[in-house]
Amino acid sequence: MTEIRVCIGTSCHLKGSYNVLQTFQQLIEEHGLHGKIDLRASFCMKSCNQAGVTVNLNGEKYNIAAESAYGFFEENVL
Amino acid sequence: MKNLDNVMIIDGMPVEINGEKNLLELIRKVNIKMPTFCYHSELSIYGACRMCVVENQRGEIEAACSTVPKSGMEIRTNTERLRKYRKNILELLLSNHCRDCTTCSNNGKCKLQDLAMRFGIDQVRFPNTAAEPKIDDSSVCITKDAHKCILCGDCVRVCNEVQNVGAIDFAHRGSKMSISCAFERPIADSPCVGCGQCAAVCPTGAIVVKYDFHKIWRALDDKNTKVTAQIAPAVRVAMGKELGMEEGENAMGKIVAVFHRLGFEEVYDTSTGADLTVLEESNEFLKRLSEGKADMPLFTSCCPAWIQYCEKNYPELLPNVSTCRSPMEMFASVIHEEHKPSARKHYHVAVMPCTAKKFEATRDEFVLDGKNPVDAVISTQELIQMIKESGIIFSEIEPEAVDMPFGTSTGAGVIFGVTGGVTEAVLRRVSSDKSKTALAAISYHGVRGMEGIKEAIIPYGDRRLKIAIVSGLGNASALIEKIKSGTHYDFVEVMACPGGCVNGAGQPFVAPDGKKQRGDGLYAADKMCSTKRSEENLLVMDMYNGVLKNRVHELLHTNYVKRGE
Repeated sequence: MTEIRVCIGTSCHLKGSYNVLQTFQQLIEEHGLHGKIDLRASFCMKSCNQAGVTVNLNGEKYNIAAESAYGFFEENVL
Repeated sequence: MKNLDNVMIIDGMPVEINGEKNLLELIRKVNIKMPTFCYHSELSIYGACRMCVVENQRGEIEAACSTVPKSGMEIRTNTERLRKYRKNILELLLSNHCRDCTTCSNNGKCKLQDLAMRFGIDQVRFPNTAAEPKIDDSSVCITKDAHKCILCGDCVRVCNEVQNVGAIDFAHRGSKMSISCAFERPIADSPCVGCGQCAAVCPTGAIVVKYDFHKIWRALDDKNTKVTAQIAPAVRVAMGKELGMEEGENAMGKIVAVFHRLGFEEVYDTSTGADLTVLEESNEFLKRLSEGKADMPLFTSCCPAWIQYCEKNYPELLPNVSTCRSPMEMFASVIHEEHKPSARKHYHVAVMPCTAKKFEATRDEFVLDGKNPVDAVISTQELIQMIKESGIIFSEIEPEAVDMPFGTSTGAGVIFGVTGGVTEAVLRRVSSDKSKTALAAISYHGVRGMEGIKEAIIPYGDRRLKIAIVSGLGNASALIEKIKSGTHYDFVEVMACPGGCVNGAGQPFVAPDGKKQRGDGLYAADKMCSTKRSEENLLVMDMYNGVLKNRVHELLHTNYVKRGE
């Protein structure tokens, strides 16, 4: 099971964390990965000073721009 | 200082001419209620009904709608001769007219009835020589009764000029003249898209919206049937005027309360469905952008009249129309799935500002488990009729909230009912800057307002998205021609009715200034929503892990194909 946590704290929210969540959600549906990926929103991950939305993928933190969520998923998750 | 060179005399009063296009506008400006059948400020001038006749200083009689006001002109609007003429015209119109007022669905809203009363027509001296009435009820949206037609041509002009559909026109000459589709075919086989604008402008009951609410009474009386309803955003701001509230006042709470009283077990807000549409449409839009398929714009697919128009006139554009179902159908699919395990029968009613939705609810594309998830579509007018029939006093009823499990919606869903609203909702979702200033900026980028064609340029990442918003199918076809000749857009929103769903043909008729009030009513409702963006609607997000899991395409999308020859 791959674990993805997307930060929806204030800072990430303003940078578009729901856009990231939506994109991941759509890609999970598209590839039929419902049983294989556990996608959840999470509160602040203490990386507010970084550019972009904080995403925790299997324990590793990334900071991604909302527009590059699609590419991130294809590169790092699939 | 008033410009004295520009003054004319109306009924002895000096009146300043201020760029009015015709005498009628000027006469109405000085608070004289001039009778007309065939004059609508949005349509071309036809001068057929001769009700707006005026007498000038030389004793000549001319139609005010087709006379240009000139300085020094002197006219009278209410002389013995004019009254006699008007009465004669009315009497002649009535002589060939079906006079079954009590059983006409336009009873009480009919201009002919109104004027006959105003001019005190107490007898008709001429025998009725009209042929047997021909009723065309082939369309699921509108009914045409030639016997009630006064040949004012309003429907013909709105269909040709505003909507560019051209389904109806005059046929034959003289006393045999009638309004007809090409080759006297039934409306259902014509290019008609069901927008119903002809019914909205018809001064009599010759073209009316088809009423379907009788079916609902039956379902409500059946103990083994659970009746649920969804209410479209535009309905809440158009109800008030006829039921003793202000035009544009938000009556959602009261409508929900009335529905509970009528026996509906669950009442939902179509805005929740609109949130689903925003998410799906945004995903589709972003995917197209990232795949570089941006040579042609993505057209919205919420408006069923636009979909039919596209299928019949521009089938080559269908691949560019979003695959999303309309909010009504998306939401109905989800509600249907929710009720499937129940042993009781489920009957789902949609209250829409729209006549074309009636057709949408008969489409095969959306069938789930053998039937369309929407069992009946009723217009706002029908809802008002139901409330009147039930005897509930609307102004006295206490507002109530919509029901769970689909009881949350966002401001983005609410503004779907006004032109530019779908675009604004999608932009709120697509924009990655979620601050309050960014939210306010979107609304000032040119997406709001009642103009027929609007354009906006919105930054997205390092790109600039070019967006067009059209309302009125005539404007849509003008824009399509522009796109075909090389103008680039990324996203195009189309609503068939001028000004968007708030002015749909299912709504009570409203004068041009009331249209804006309805739109403003929806923007005010948006302001009162604590959630403004569809992706923040947690209930909808939850659906993706529940009812929609692995079934998004099956339940929320479709493919439209070419129709007609």
